[in-house]
Amino acid sequence: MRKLPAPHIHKELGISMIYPHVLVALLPAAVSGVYYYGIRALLLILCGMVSCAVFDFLFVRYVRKEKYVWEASSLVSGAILALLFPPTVPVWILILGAFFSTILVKQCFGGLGSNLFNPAFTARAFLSLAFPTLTAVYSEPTVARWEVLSLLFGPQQTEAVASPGGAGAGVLELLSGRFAGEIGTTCVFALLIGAVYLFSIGILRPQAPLFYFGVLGILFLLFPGAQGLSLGYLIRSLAVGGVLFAGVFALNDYSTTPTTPLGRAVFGVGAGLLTFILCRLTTIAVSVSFAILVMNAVTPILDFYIRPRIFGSPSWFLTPKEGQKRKEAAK
Amino acid sequence: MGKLSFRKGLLPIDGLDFAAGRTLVQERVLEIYSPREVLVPMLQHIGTPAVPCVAEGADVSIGQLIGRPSSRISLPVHATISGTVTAIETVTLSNGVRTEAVHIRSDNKRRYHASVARRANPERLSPKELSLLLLRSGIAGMGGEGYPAYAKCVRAVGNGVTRLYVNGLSSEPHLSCDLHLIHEQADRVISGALALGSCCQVREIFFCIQDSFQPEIAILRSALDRIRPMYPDRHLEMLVFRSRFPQGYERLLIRATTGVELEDSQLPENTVASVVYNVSTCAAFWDMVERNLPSVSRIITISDDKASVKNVLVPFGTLLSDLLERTPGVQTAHRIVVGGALTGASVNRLDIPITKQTQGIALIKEEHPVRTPCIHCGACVEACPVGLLPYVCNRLIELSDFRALAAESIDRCISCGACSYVCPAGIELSARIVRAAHSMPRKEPET
Repeated sequence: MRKLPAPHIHKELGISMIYPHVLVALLPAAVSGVYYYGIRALLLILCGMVSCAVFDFLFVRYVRKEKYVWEASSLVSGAILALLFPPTVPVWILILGAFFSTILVKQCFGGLGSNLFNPAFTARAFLSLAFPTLTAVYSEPTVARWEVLSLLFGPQQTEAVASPGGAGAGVLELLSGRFAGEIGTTCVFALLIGAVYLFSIGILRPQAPLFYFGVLGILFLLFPGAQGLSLGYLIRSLAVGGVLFAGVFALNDYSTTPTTPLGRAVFGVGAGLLTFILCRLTTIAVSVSFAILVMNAVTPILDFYIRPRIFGSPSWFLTPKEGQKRKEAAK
Repeated sequence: MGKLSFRKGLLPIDGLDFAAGRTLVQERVLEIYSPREVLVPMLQHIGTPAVPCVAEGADVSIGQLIGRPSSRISLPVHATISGTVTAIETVTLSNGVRTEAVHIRSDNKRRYHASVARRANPERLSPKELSLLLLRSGIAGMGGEGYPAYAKCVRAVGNGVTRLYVNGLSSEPHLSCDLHLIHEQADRVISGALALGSCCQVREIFFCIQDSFQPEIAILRSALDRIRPMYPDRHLEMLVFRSRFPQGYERLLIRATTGVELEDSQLPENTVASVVYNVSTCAAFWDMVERNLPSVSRIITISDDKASVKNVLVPFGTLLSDLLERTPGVQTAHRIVVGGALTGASVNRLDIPITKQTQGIALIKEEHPVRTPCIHCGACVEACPVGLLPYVCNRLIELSDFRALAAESIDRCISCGACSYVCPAGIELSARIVRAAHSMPRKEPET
C-alpha cells in the first residue's frame, strides 16, 4: 500500500490498445488491395510495416539509446504508407519511404506524439516529388495477381495504365474500388467498414472527416468541371486519389491534428478547400497529401488560438490581446 | 423539461457505470456496523477544531457532547458510540490533517444520551429554533466538502437566498450512499430538506437526481407528491440531470440549473441566490429535528474498481482497519482509497478514522496503466469541465514555466481527475496540475 495520486481508476482505451485497433480498421482496405492486386500488394504492405518497425526500433535503441517501448504506431504508419502507393512501385521505394517517415518525420521531431507532420502522407508526398514516374504508374485490378517482377524492377510496360482510372466505371465498380488506383484507397466499402469500426470504439473523432467530406462534396457539386454532374462523378471524387482514405486515417491522426473539436472542424474545412484547389490545378493523387501536410503545419496555430472557453469566462477565443491581458494578470 | 447538464466531463461512454449503484441499493439492504472502539477526531469539518470536553475514564453515550466548538467557524463533536473514554490522542486523517481525537471503547450497549428523544411537534419549530438545532447538530457538509452546515445557512440568510438545491447527484458514479438514502428514506430526506429550507428562509426547494436512477426518480416523485399538499406555501420540484461526471460539484450543478458559471470568488449564495445542501446533510438534519440526534454516523459506500460493493452505516471515528477487517479484497488491493475511486485520497495505513466528510472507501485492484508519451489526442481537453488544456499544462509543468501556467488559468482546476481518467498515455495530469496550482503562489513573488 502506497500513497498514490487520484484518480485511481482509468479508461481502458490506452495507447497500447489504440494502434492495434487502427490496424484492424485498416484490414478491410488491405484485404481489398490484396484481392485486386494480388501477391505484390500483400508483400508491399508487409514490407512497409516491417521496415517502419525496424527503423523505429533501430533509431530508439542505437541513436537515442533508450529502451524501446513497443507500441503498434510504427506498424500503422507502415501499413498506411504501403496502402497509399499504386501496386506497381518497387520495394526499395517503400523502404525509402519508411526511412523517411519514421526517422526524418517522426523520430527526429521527438518520436511518437511529437511529430508535426503525418509520417505516411509526408513520405508519400516526398516520394511522388522525388520519383514522379515510378510512383504514378497504375495497374488495372485483377489482371496481374501473380506479378512480382515490379517489386524489384518497377512497373512493367505491358500492364501499366498511365493515370488513376475509374472514368468509365459504373457506380458499383466505383464503390467496390474495381478500377486502377492505389492499393488501399479505392474500395469505398472497405474504408467505410474501417471508419465505422473506429467510430464505434471511440477512436475516430468525427469532426475533421465530416467537415472535410462536407466541404469537398459541396465544392465538387458546385464546380463539377468538364465531366458534368453525375453520381459516378461524385463517388469518383471521393474514391480516386484517396480522399476517403485520408479523411478516415490522416484527419484522425492524433498527433498531427488539433486537440479541440472546433480546431478539428477548421482543420477539416481547410483540408477540404486545399484538396479541391490543388486537385483542380494538379493531379488528385498528390493534392490530398499536400493539403494534409499544409494543414498539419497549421495545426499548432489552430491549437494555440482555438481553445475551450474557461469555465466562467465570457469569451470563446483567446485573442492575442486577451492572452496578453491574462499574462499581465499573472504577473 | 429536458435533462440538465453541463459541458464536457465524463459520460457513460467513457467506461463509467453510472447505474452500478442502482442495482446495489435495490438488491442489498444497508449494513449497520458497530465498532469495538472509535477514535473521534475533533476536526471533521472546514474551520477550527473542537476542544475536547470529556476526561479520560468518562462514561459517554451516543449523542453526548465530547468536543465544544472553538470559534464561529467550528462545530461541536458528539460521542458516536456508548462506552468509556480511554484516551485523548493525536491522529492523522486521510487528508493529512493532524488533530486531537477522543478514543472511546464500546460497551456494546448502544445507549443513547438522555437528550436524544423524540420531539413532540418537529414541524412547528421556528426558523430560529431550527438554525440553533443545525448548529448544535454538528453537521458538516456531507457531500465531501465538510463546510459547516450552520455557517452555510447563516451565509444563505445573510444573502437573502430564495432557492435550495438538494444535491442527490452522486459525486462519483460508484458512490451510492446518497442514492441509498433516496431509495430507502426519501421521506426523511424531504423532511430534512424542508427543515433546512425553513432555516435558510427559502420557499423553493429543488431535488437534483441523475437520469440513470429511474426507480429512485419514481420513489422521489411519489414521495414529493405525497408531501407537497402538506406544505402549500412551499415549491417542491424534482430536477433530472444527465448522468455525467462530475455533475455533483456545486458549481457545475448551478451551471446546469441556472446557466450561470460562477467565478472562483463567487458563491452560489451571493450570485444566484441559491444554496446547495447534500442529500445526506438533509437526512442527518432531520434526525436532529425529529429525535434531537446530532451527527454521529453516516452511510459510506465500499466500492472496487468497477462498482459499489456495499453501503454501510458507520459511526464517525470508526477505524478503516476495523471496518475493512472482514471485507474481501483488502489483502489483494493495490490501493486503498478514502473517498471515491476518481477523486479520493489513497492511504498507506489503516489506522485512519472515518469522518463526516468520508463518503466511501474504494479498494482498487488494477495497477496504474503504463506511462507512454503524450500523443496530443486531446482526450483531456474534451474531458476537462472547466475548459483547461491539461496536456499543455503538463508540458509547461515539465518546463517549469509558471508564468505561462498562470496564463493557462490552472488555478481554476477543480481536481476532478477527468483528464487523468481518460488519458490513453497514463499521464497523471490531474495530480500534476493540482500540485503545480498549489505551488504557484510561492513561486510567484520573485517576478
